[in-house]
Amino acid sequence: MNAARLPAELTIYTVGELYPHCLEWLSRAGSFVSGQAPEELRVDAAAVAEVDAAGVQLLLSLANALRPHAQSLVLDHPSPALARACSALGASTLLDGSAAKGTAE
Amino acid sequence: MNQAESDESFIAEVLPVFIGEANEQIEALEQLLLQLEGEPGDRDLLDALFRCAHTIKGSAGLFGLDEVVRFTHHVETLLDHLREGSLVLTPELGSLLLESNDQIRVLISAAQHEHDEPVETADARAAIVRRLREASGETAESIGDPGAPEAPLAAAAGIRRWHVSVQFTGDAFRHGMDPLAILNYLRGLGEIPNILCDTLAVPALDGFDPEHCHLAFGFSLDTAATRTEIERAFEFARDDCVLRLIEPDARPRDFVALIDAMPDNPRLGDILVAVGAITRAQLSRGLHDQAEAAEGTGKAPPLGALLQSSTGLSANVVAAALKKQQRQREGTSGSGLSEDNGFIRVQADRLDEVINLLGELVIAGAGASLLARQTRQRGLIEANQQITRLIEGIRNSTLQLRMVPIGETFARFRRVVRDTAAELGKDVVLEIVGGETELDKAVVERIADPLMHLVRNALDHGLETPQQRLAAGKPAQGRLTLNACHESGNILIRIIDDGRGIQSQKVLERAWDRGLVEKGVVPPEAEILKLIFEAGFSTAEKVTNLSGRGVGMDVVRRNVEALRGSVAISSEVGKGSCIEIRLPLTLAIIDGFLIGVGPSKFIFPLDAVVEVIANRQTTTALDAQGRSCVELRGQMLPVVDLRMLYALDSPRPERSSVVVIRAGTRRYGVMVDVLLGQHQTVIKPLGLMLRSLRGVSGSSILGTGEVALIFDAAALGQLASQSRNPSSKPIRTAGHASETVTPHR
Repeated sequence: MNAARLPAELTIYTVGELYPHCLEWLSRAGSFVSGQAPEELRVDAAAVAEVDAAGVQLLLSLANALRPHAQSLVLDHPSPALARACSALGASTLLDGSAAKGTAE
Repeated sequence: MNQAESDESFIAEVLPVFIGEANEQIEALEQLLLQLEGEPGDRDLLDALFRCAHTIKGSAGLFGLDEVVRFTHHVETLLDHLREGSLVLTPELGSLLLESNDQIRVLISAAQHEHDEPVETADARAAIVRRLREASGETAESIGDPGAPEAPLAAAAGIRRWHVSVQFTGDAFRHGMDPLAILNYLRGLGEIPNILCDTLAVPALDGFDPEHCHLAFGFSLDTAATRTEIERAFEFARDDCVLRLIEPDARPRDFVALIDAMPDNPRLGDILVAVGAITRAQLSRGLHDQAEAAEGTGKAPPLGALLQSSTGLSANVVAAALKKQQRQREGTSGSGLSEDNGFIRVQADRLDEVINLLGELVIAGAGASLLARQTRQRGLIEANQQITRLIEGIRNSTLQLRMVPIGETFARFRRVVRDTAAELGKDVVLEIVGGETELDKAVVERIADPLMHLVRNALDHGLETPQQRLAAGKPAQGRLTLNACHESGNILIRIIDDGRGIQSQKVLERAWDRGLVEKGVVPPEAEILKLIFEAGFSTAEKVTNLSGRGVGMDVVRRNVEALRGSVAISSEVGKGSCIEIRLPLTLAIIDGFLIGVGPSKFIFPLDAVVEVIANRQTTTALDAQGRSCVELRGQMLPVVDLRMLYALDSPRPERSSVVVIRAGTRRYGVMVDVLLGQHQTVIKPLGLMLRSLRGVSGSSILGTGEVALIFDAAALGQLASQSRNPSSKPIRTAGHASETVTPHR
């Protein structure tokens, strides 16, 4: 399992710090895919208390980076704040498959 | 590198402007918060508050003041909750927001002076951030699930479906914009039944700058709000997004109105698309048709006509769009002017320079017109008169530039009164009257501190606690009034409280203790209260945090007098006190009335002159101080003779004139030899030697190079009436006056 976890604050102030972590998650996911069947990158999103559009954008970017690898981003236990922000921004696809182990899109 | 350098110099240049604006916003924030305490839940106020905070955050972002942005962000979040109605403004929240505002002020001033802040303030700020987050965090979870659609009230009158497409620019995040907040705000205006984020526009992670905004949205909005109201949501992001609002069920005349109201957008197609009269696809088909037709015939048919036939667009709409386009082509430079007739910012010292030069010009002009008169050439005299009139016009409008309403200064005291009263356990309401009264900026700046002291004093010593007030049969809430008005060339500022008043006996006792008055001597009542303003009267006996800071009322008086003003106090035990400050409107140039006594010239401020009684027989009945009375339209008018008051030794002419002066509510006459008429007076301060000269507020240089002393109408009146009092000493200044005036013969 990836120990990928989103911080409590997912905003313009923290995306810079989070970005290298995302790259790392992505590289790990990439190595997965090289030998394995299509997987998904699970990120624990329970802690997110504060989120803005920049935070959601980073998640979108991560999801877009996974797509060429035929992978999907799954947000585990998204906090209410994150869920609200995603749906408010029309990025509900990010929430797909987060409740159960479902398929993306 | 070059880019970075030029950025840096740009920032250095513009930072002061930002700081000035930020301070205005902070001031506005404070006022709004205080106002909001009176009417919590007022939507307009909340919106205005949010805008202020947002503006500060946005522009701080431009200057890379991260600490300001970070902190203001938390304030903004809380304000957003208040605005959404998910939180109600309690007094605690109000205080928290006021404290936060203070923090923003500290941060801004730190940015201004570029000093490192001490650890304590950073800690204090962190504590406030915690409280802010608690305040907004608790409720963040308690907001209802926005996913649950509320029953759509489309049936309700006026709800229409707008189509909005918005593309944020790359710098939107860095400028402090949060599309999420904007969308949430729009949800307050109406329903967003569907929203589409252009997720594919966000690049994949590799080489991605997470602080660069790639977001674009398309959504529908069901709302009764007008276009302006919707656009207002994007107000702060105006430079950071491309916004298109489309209203599909609009009628042709609505489009015409919209086109008229549109911002600059010189392409016909864009105009039509932007208002939603046609779609982008229809436009590109139209353009395509146009290009094809041009290829075939070598002549392009007008796009408007093509669109009319292909999309069924109303001819009116096309005509309006064409007209708009025409106007913009004609007047790209002119229209900028008409839209931007608001304000320009000028540095105060540039203005001061202009005023200094103007002072010189006035003197030089007076000299020139004097010479012209000596030549007795009518043409030259007339030309000079014309110049004098013009100089006068320039003078008036230039001085007007420096005039600011005093209300801004008064409004600052709202916070002081609120906090101080709370600290002292008192309930006080501040009333501001005449805040629109204007006076010179320099005066406003220098009167703020004395006023602050007086306000604190009234709160501390004057007004009682609610219990004491009820016991005294007064309403529990005390009233403090700041009142400003114009009064014969002066501004009169009154600080009135309905507190316990001043017990003159106590004042007298303290004055005896302090040796200000010889023990046992009892001066008249009016004189006793004035003792409060004497140096050494304030005591450390009752040092409170507020008014007993060692700065006494004597400092207040000195500050006011340094502005050529005066302070007076009146009080009624049990009813309250009133402190009156009279200040000149300006420190630079006034309209004066020039008179002569023997060879000496004097100037009265023209506003103080009511009328003149010219060329009357010199009265003989003068008392030892040169006072008498004349009858003016059936009333007795006290008259003072300058020659005797200031001991000017020159022969008395046979006939003299009386200038009737108004000082406060009183009138008196001044006997002079000759009336020399109106004179533009550039006020020069009195030298150190002449400071003690009483009744005189300044000097001025005449066109001939002579020096004239400028009278202070109120002080002169006081001086004249004082000598009536047998207990007071003879006028000490008389000797001085003759010494100082005669050298300019």
